[in-house]
Amino acid sequence: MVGQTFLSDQVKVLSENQKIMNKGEINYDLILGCIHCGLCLNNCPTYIELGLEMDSPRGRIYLMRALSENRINPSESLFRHIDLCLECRACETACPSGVKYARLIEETREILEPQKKYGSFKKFLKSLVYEKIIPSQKRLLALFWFLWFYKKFGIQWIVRKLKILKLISKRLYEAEILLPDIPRPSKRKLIRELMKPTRKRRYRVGFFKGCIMEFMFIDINIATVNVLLKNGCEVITPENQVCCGALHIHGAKTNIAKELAKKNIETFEKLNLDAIVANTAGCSVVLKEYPELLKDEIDYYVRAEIFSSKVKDISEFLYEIQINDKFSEVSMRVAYHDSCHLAHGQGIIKEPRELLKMIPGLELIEISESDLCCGSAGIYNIIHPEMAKRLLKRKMDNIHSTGAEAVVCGNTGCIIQLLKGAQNNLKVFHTVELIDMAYKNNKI
Amino acid sequence: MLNNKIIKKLESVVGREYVITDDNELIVYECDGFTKEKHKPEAVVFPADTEEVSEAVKILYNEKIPFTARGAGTGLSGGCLAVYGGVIICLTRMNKIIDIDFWNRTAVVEPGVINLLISEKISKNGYLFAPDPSSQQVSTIGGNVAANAGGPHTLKYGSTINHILGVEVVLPDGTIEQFGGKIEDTNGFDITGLMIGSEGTLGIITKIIIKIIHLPEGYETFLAVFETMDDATSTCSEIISSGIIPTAMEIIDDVMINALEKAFKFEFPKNAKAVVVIEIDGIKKGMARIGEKITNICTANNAREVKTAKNDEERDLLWLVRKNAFGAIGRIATNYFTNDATVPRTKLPEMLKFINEIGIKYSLTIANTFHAGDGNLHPAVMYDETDTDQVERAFRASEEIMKKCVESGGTISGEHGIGFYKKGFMHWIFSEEDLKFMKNIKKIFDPDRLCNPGKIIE
Repeated sequence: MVGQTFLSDQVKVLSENQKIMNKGEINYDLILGCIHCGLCLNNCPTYIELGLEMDSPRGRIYLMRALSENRINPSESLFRHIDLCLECRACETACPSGVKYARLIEETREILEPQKKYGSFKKFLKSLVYEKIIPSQKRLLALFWFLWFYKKFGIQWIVRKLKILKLISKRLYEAEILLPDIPRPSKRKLIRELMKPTRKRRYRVGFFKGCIMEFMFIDINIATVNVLLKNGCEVITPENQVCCGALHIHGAKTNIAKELAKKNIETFEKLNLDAIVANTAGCSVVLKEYPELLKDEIDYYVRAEIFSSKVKDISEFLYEIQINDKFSEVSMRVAYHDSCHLAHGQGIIKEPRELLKMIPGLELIEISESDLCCGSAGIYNIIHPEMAKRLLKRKMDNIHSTGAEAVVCGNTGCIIQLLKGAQNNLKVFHTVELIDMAYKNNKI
Repeated sequence: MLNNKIIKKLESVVGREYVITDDNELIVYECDGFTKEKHKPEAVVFPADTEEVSEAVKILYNEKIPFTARGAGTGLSGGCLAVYGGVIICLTRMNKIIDIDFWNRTAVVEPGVINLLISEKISKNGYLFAPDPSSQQVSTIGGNVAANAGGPHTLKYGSTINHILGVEVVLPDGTIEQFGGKIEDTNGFDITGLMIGSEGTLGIITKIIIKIIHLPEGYETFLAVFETMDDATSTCSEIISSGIIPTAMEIIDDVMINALEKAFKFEFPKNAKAVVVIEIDGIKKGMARIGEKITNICTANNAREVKTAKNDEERDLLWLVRKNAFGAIGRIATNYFTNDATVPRTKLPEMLKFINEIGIKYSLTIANTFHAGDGNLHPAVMYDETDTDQVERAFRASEEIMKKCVESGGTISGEHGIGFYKKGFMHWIFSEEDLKFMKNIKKIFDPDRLCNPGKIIE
């Protein structure tokens, strides 16, 4: 009986949500949650940089409200301010009223998207990347083989010398600059679908490998699996998992994100797992919010709840299971950078710091504005290179001024961005790499 | 009217990207933290320094176009609304700390500097900027000076005015003047004093010389829990009359506790009618004795329990929760406004009862979080702005509370300023002659009524 009531309640809620969704409007009740106090202003990277109310969370919500009330019409200026948001969610951390800002900005972008006029090349590129490449593991693999060749055999050198990309598209040019060294894509095979710990099994864990992480930073994935094995986890990395959908949600392509979410739920739910671990904060935050994404999908909502309740960021998981602390010394002065989707998206601030502090010899340095966005924000640094560069400079100044040898964080996007800004041999690590290093007794 | 020619001139002063004239952008500047009134400016300019402010003001002065200074826009009385349209001069770009002089305990700052950033910057040297309005994490020092802002620690340290040595002002005709200086200068007229709290109606403040103080050696922070509001307010009166001056003494009532609990999961004691946050600071030796005295007074006034913050983290969290109180109202209502009427401390029990009755009379929820030590009330009246009847009732309720405060020997504002919202109530506390005198002063500075017109006395 209880189950039935629960389900019929669910259906009721879902159909109401469906109504709202169908109208293609921004959730007005969520907008009203903002009481215009302004306590978010100084947490917002774009407001800190520009001092403009339109580029603050309060200002953007005010614009959303004006749009909903037909007080303003969509315009270039409106698109600009809505798009300049990094969706770092620092305002959610600041907001005492608990305004769901990320959801609001995503809904707004989704509604504004059809009204924007894109050039045909941009349109083609956008649909190619979002609809064809990212959702398919095979195409992603092909893309990264291409990029590997591109880097390895001097094509990059020619392209950069002749500034070919600048002629085709400014965005492509910016993206190319960010491209770090890419490991040989076949290295991914080192992570087998089932890997068993040498000691007694404590947990059965699913590993969500992340598209970019797998192809650009496979070593971080290998380190993650190693650390999990060292902690008595049996690690299952299903071959047919797909992108989490983060880029699609941020890029106003929610429908594709939903399909990706369903596929991931189907893949992981039959594995009888204790936890689903991700090492990219941008992925884990989205995986945790699948119920929100699939709230109007009757067949999936409850399954999404179960799926998401198991999702853990790697640092969160290791902290909770009381990590095996048989560490050797890693003598290094390390600055910690709070990735937005870890600190603001998931409230994971203490966990990675506590883990790092356990490593003997490692000196953890706090930097100023450690939870201010570095400007990466998914593909933001490609679309808004100017703001991204300003924020990166601010971040790097804060890091370099501490004299740290390395900076550590928990997100792929940040790592790409920090690598771009790093000077004077500053190294960039994922938290789990340092933990892995402490297990291996690697001297640097 | 603002025409293209004038806009071009303004652009040539501050740069094209720092003049906003797009309707979709201007709309966000139509109100501040007081959202009931909305007045859209015709343009917003963002000057980078004093000279640019002066040049922009000269242009507007010559064209007889009204202008209004704005900082972060967190004010609660509509002080920076462009009531007569015209131009908003937004000072967020002028956010530099120009000079810090530890030896002489002063600093020179631009008006767009965020209040809290000053203390953050000097705390590692053992110093502090004492005025701490609850909005300090976002509000600008320029706005604080304009409103003569207070804050929880006003009880011991005084309001903003007690920490300002001098100001540089762009007068309404564009001339730049400096009043006061790095040392206390008591000669001649105290124009600095006149400027502080004038809410940008006499000129635009472009530099501020502030006092900084030594961080106290130690803090002791208490949280006393009460079953009735009466007991809480009586405790505050008794602590002060016993000769103790706490650094801060704040009351939070059950409605606000509920909102804060939703926001921060602080784990306030259940079913309490009110909690009092009491803080003392100073030299550690002797603090235990004062702390004991405070605890005894609380207990004698039926406190259910008195907790002490065990470390800096607990203290910081308690203040974070207190200072975010108004921001947390969104957890329980869609709109609110608060006045900041003030009464003699001894009248607090009576006033709180009255506020409660008003809430019942107008069937509205009213939350109270206030600076009890100063008798500075903050009844946050909640309403839904889509319901015009409720808006009307809410305003009448707030007005009645203010009126009662005045009748009890108090006043209509303790720290938020008069702005647009409370100017209609000025005649409750000033005679016609008083107001005329103030208008005459305004006339000397701003004969054409261009500088933040429609505020305080107009």
